[in-house]
Amino acid sequence: MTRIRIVFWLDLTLLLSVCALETLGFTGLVIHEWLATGLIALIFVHILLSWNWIAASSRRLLARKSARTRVNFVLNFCLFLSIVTVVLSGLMISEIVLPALGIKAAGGDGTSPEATWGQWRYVHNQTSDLVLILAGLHLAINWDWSLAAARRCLGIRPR
Amino acid sequence: MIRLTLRILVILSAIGIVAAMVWLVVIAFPGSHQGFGRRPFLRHLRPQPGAVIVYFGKLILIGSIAWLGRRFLKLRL
Repeated sequence: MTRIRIVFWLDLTLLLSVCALETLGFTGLVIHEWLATGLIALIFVHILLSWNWIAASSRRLLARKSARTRVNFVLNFCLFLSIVTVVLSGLMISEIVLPALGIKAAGGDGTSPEATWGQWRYVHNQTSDLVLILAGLHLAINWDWSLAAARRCLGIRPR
Repeated sequence: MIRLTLRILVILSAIGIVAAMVWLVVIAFPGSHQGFGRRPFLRHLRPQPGAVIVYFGKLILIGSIAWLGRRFLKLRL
C-alpha cells in the first residue's frame, strides 16, 4: 500500500470517527470513550505522517509570500490545541475508560465535587464544537489534496 | 470537479450507511447497550436510533464548512 493510500484511508477514518464522537447519542458513552482513546493513536500517526510538512512549514513560517502556509500552520496548531484540550477534559470526566484501567479520573470517580466535574464537562463540550469547525477548515485548506487522493485511491478517472 | 465531488459524496454516504446499519444491528437494538457510567443522569447517553440523523448532520456540517472555507480561502490566499 502506497503512502498516499495509507494517509487517505487514515484521514477518512478520522473524519468519520470525529463525526461519531461529536454525536454522543450515536455511539453511547462506552463506545464514545473507547473510540476517543483509539483516536488518540490515529491522530498521533496522522501527525507523524505529516511531520515533513510540519518541519518544512515551520521553517518557512516567516518567509515572504507564504500567507497560505501561515494560515494553514496557525489553523493546524489551533486544531491540535483543541484536540489536546478535548482529550484532556474527556479524560477528566471519564466514566468508563479510566476506571476500567484502574485509574481514578479527576472528575469522574464519583467522589469529586460535581462543580469540578461540571467545569470539565463544560470545557469538553465547548472545545468539541470548536474541533468540529476547525476540522472543517482543515479539510477546506487540504481540499485539493483530498480530492486528488480520493481520485487515486477510489480509482476515479478525471474527466 | 463538481461531478467528482458528488461521486465522493455518494461513496462517503455509502460508507456512512453501512456504518449506520452495523450500528443499528450491533449497538442500538434493545438490550445490547453496554452501560451508562456511574452517574444516573448519564443514562440518556446510550445509543439512540434517532442519532443516526445527527451523525449525518455532523458529516454534512463538516463538509459544508470545508466547502465554504475552501471558497473563502481561494479568494483570500
